[in-house]
Amino acid sequence: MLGECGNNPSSTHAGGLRALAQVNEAKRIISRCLDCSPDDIIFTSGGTESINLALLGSSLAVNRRPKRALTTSGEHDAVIETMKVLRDMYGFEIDFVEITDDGVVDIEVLKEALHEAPCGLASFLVVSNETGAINDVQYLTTIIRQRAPQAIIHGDIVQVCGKMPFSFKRSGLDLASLSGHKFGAPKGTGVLLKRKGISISPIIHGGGQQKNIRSGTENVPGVYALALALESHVLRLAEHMEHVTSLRDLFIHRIEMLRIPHVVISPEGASPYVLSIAFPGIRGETLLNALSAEDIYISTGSACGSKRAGDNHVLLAMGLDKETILSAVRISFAPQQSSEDIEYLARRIADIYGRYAIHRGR
Amino acid sequence: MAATQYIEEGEVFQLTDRPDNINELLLVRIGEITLKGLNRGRFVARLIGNIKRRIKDLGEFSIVQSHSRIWIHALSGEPSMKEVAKRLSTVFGIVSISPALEFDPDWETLVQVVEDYATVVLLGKGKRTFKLETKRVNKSFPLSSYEVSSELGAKLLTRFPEQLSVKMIEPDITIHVEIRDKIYVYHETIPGHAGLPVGMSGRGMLLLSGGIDSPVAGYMMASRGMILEAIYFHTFPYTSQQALDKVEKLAQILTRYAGRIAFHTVDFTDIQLELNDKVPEDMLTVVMRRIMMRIAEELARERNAKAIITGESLGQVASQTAEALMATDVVVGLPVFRPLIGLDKNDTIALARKIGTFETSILPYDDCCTVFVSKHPKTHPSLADADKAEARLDMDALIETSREKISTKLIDLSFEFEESH
Repeated sequence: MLGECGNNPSSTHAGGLRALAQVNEAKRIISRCLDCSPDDIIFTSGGTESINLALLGSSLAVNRRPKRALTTSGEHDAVIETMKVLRDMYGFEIDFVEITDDGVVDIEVLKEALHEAPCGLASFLVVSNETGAINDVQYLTTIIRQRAPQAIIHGDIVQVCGKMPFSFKRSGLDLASLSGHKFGAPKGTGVLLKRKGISISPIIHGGGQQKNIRSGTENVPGVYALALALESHVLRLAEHMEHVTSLRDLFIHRIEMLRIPHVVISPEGASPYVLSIAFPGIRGETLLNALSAEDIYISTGSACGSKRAGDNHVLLAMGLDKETILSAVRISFAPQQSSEDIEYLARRIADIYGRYAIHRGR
Repeated sequence: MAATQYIEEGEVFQLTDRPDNINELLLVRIGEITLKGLNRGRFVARLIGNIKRRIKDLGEFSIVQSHSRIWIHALSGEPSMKEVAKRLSTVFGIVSISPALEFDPDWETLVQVVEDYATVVLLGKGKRTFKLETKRVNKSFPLSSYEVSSELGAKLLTRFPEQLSVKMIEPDITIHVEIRDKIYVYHETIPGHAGLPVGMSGRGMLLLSGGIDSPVAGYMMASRGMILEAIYFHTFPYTSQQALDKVEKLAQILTRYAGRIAFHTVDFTDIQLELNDKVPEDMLTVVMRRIMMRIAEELARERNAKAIITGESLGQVASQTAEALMATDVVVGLPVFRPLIGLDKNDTIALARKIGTFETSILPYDDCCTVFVSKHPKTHPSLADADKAEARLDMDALIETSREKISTKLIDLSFEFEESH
């Protein structure tokens, strides 16, 4: 398979045509997994590029839409920073709609924001990378569509693909961004889904590949790997969901049994793939360092940046106090983990907590 | 003489196809050391030793002191004199360096060399101004220094009438001609960091944290001739492996000035936890500093260091008030050098930028000071307060056990880091 990947899918020689066939095959697989048309698929280098292309590309393509964008305070930095570019370089007004204590979009605030002024672009996270909180994507797109029919609606589905059922057609989204490495494809692979009829200006210019939306030779092996990885996850979605849910529940149960003081930050009904939890008395970073020395990897805040302790805009937006945020960690659960792994993790956390937690106020 | 080609590299230029009768060398000026009277020989010998160590991997050199200068010739290996000069610019004791050409005193050769020299350093940059400055030490040379300058200046103007003009005050370029047993021609003076050669002032134990101040304090004491050793208090898992790596990187940057540094890491976690347990919260920082000082002193004595060095600056934080400093000084018998004590933070930052540690210091990894900081520390602790705060600690046992928690690593001189600003 990889042999063909060496050829350029834009070349008209036999090797190029075989590479093109492979790209098309990948599109067919992805379209079945995400219930979209193969023509909706644009390959990118990952979630961040997809989001940049979606927000910048759609805004720059059409001039007549209102220069006002709505997003939420619970977004990934890729959305927040791109929105700031729209604001600072293209004169957009950006409204950050508050999220609730449960980490989902506050519907009433959203309605008010839509009522206030016309809106040309909306972007929201379908599943929070921070807490696993799930937004009802169809409900949100319906509300937005009713009040701002001209708005382009973008969804960040990075935490959805390969983990939960998703239909692009039924979602009501115009654009959706996903990242390959979140479901086992190589890093540096991603997709932007674009509904037919939505115009996008390129942000990367060159040879006009991918209908002149994203120039640059397609990453044929990456594209194919992404499709296969997604398919293998989607085929076992229900089984994985059940297993991962049981792991997450087991973990919380164990933490309770071991009497480790804790605050579960992830809301009821959140995606089981990520758990935001605080252990008051020990900084998230201290726990991360101690576990890391034993080759157990968890995160504090968002793993993408190297921020200072306590800088977590999502948890802040959920109204958590600084001490809780400092002691918060993010634990990812995955289908390949076993219950023994989780029991072991809980015991290690108990040991580390017992040894390093600091209780002040003597 | 065949046309000589010069190739310019940045400001320092080099000669290719150099005729046998013209040598490249570096003139190194050594300033303060020349005032050292009877000790001068020791200072110069130490400086030459430090220079040799700094450039030994670049080739074989002859390094000779005479006329208040050190003269460096490459003997083999065709090293880049630019690289040699760059390395030497951070050796303490060196005031400035000029890459120069050297040849036997002969008027025809001098004219040819200066014309070629001017071609490289003056031409191709639009109209430039220049002057010649001649110093004649060798009185057997037939022309006076004034005559040499004016004759050479006239030759250059005749040859390049369109491109050059003479300007006596602040010209673009000053070409220096020194006539001694040989003639030396140079135009550039690269500033060094001056100070005294490392090794002339004994050994100092630097309390190195990940912050901006302590590397600068180490640099300043090394500039007065101290050999540096560094001690870092590591509080894993409260502080990360990255925090340790960062401090080690700072030590590595300091080697560029101070040469090889023995880097000691103290596993401080158990001690910190005991303090947290047994010391009132508002005195935690002062007691922690006192214990760090005691551990540093023990190690300093063992390593034959004559002083402890810290980056403290008066009043900068709660543990750096006069009272807090007294409370920490009183527990150690060695002098504590605090070269930043009267510096404004902005001056310290400027120095950190100059020596190239700033960018590393501001990386966001917490050191233990920020993890175990109390919200309302006592800013003016009395000695009695400090003693009372330590009452529940078995100090001797604490210091004794800390000795087993020290690991030492030699950090060799390295140039594998970014340029300083």
